[in-house]
Amino acid sequence: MKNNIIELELFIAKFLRAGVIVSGFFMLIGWLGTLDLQHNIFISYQNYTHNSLLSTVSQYNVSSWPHLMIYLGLICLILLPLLRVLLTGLIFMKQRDFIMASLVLIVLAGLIISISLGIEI
Amino acid sequence: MFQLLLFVISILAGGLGSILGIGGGMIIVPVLTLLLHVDIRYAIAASLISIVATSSGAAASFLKDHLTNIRVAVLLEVGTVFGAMTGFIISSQISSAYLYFVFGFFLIFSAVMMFRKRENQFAVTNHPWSEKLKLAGEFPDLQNGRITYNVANVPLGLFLMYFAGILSALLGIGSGILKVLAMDGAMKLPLKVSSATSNFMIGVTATASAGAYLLKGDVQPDVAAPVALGIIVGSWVGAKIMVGMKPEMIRKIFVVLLTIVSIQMIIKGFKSI
Repeated sequence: MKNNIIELELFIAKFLRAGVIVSGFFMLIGWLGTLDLQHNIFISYQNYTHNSLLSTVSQYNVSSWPHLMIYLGLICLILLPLLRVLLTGLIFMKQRDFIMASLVLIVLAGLIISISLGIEI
Repeated sequence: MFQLLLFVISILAGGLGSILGIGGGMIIVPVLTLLLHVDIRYAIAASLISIVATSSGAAASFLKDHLTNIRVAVLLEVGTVFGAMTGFIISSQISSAYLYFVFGFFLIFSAVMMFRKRENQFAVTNHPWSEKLKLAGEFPDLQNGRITYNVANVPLGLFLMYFAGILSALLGIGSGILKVLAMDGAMKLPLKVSSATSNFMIGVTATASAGAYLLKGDVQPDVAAPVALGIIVGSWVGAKIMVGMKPEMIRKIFVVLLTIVSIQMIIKGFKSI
């Protein structure tokens, strides 16, 4: 039991670290592609305008690849904790610790519901 | 030029956050709104992304040290995730002015809390929920070998975590100060365990709202990328240089800065009405 927990901790640690590196790599490539040393690009973000992710991405073309790379990195990053929770749940299931597995399921359901609220509102 | 400036500031925010044991969100949201005049909704969304990134990296280190109590983390994540859900709904319904006010007052609260002396208060008995869920644990200690501990006041801890989740989604912060308060204050977890477990959970809490903001379109790649990359680099450098460092002086200067920034955020809130 104790060894299983330690193995689980080490595996999750490696998984999280690798995930941050991969998503950071995508974001870095994308960010370097968007670098504009002449203008203050933040002027266009001074006022809030609502534009969903889907409508933004649907307007992109080939020249928008840096932003798409950044979004890819962002999605990888968001998926990391979700997969971490899923992984924890699977290990608890393997240990036949059904109470903890149920709690993990509640957390996972909460995460999915919460993220999907972004589509509606 | 401004993108590079934001990247450098984010490195400093990440480094300072590591040294002081706070997330970068408390620094980066005021920088984006007061210095670069970015709308607070975009600033909050970018900050949450950086919290997911740093928490995942930091959690890896704490897990390797065997300080994180995964069972406690899973239980408390139920509170923080549903709190984050509530926070996202609230933030979608209120005006930016209120976000500035809440942020300003939270910074004042954080400044006060940074002066609080944290002490190990071990629970004598286990709460019945802790017995049922086997939350009690042990951690390695250089002087005493392994230290075992109980977990007290579980429902109160869960309740406080719900509020931590609301504030995290509403303000784009990790709410580490509230989480640690719940864990070592209410549940009487050892300080090292509560810090590590809090860090482990912060990423999941932030993901609950960061994912929603991403789909809603509030995460702007031009803002989020330099912030996330800068904070990842800064927190890594900060963790390396903090060994053997005495952060007390930096903490005092930071508390003064925090108070000034909190007043500016409240003033900006009044101007936004």
